[in-house]
Amino acid sequence: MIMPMKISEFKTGVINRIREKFEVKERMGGHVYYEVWHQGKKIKETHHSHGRKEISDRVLGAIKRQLNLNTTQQLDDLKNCSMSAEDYLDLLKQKHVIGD
Amino acid sequence: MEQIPTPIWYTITPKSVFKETVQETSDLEQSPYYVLIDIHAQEIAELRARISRLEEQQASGQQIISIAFLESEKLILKRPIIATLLEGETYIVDNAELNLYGEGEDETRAIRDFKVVLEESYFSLKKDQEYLGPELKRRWGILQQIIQEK
Repeated sequence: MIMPMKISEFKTGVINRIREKFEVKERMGGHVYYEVWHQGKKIKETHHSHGRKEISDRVLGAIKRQLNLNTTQQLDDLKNCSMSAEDYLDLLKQKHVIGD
Repeated sequence: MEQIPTPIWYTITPKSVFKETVQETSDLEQSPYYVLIDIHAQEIAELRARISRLEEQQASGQQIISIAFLESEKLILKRPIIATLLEGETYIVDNAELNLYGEGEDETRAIRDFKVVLEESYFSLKKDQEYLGPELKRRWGILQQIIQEK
């Protein structure tokens, strides 16, 4: 089971990894939103709360689904570089979230 | 030339039918017999699966809740939204179909948070509606069906 992830790790690990292949726009509102854009299309959107130091395992489960990952472990994999931005791109192609 | 009778269908309930057909015998005698075609089976299987899922959700601390209105100055809900509430150290209100969640330290805060996310998602998708990928386009379509601007 995945452990909670620090917000800083989520931003520098997961979001910055995704940024290697996608444009990620950060939007501030009642929460911190991340919009994932690819070839001029907004394809994914996820968020976390302000004012928390870490993201709980349950919230990571919801973020996993919003990013179309198969498991919460893949969030850890993105953070730890064992899943690359290219792998993530391939995953979204396999799921027909984006075209080839 | 021998005529074969056309089968006659009798409706018993809206979805159950008896079919009259003809049993052929060696001496060419024909006698009708009736077969109940149970087309409820699929429906019953689906309902059983849904009950089973609900029982699993209940056992894992999940509840099904209905969100009837938004605490918003700009938007109103045209019809209630069904969501799951997951209790624990952090409370999560989640709607898998919309792919949106809210969180909080208790049920009330998690529901309020979900409403904030719903509203902010609505306006974000509205702003970028011409540039949405398939999933977000689908979410925008659903939000337009359930939300109305004041």
